[in-house]
Amino acid sequence: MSFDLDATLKEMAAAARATIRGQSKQAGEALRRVLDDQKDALRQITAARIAGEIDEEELQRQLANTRLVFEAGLSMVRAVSKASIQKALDAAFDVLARAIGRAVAG
Amino acid sequence: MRHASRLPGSRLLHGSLLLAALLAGCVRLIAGFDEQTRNEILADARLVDRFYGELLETDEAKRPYVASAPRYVQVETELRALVLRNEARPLNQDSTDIARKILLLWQQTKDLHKRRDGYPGGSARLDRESFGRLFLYALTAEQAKPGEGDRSRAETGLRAP
Repeated sequence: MSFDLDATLKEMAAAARATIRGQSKQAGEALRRVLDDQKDALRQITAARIAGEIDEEELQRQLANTRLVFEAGLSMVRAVSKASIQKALDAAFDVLARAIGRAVAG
Repeated sequence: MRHASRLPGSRLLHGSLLLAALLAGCVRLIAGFDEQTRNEILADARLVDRFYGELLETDEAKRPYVASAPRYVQVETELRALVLRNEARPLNQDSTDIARKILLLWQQTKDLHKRRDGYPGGSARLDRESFGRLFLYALTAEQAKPGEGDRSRAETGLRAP
């Protein structure tokens, strides 16, 4: 039975890196979507005000809603980021568990 | 692992598995994916979108609060259940925040409809968009979580951004 700690740590780091690479792209795209949504919302609200579809009071309410939606978007980005890190950690620990299993079996 | 090699195999196996489980269990940052929550988000999003679809089909002069009151109650009940389900799960603060904001916006919208006793088309269209974005954020946050989320995304065709 043998257990190469250095090799295992390297494998764990590689697994975490490989996972986080794909996942961090997802988090970046999530943030970009929230910012794009914010722009679209402000554009739609401005257009509605100019067209006379909403009055000044409604404009202020819609702007407040946009802030609330933006905050929710940031919560979503936080969740996606945390999930990315969690998946990287899980991938690293999977490597560790497999290495221990191999050492025991060997 | 020189010391480990002197341990009997079964004892080492149990110890190793326990250690790995403990290590993996200790490092939790976020709740796992929950399919029922995902389904509730989709169902609530449909309810709200249908509410606006029907409202916008109705003549603007014929949108008194009383005509929509039962739908407001129905949707609020569902949204409260969604908040509760999210709150009950550990390490789920971000999704809980999103669900609370959906509920808050719904209650504010209901109060305004009641106060105005009407719902202008311009406001309704913008509110419909806001709810659409909120539900998308709730869904994306849920589906990003580790666990069955990746498989479910592939099965349903829904994608996180």
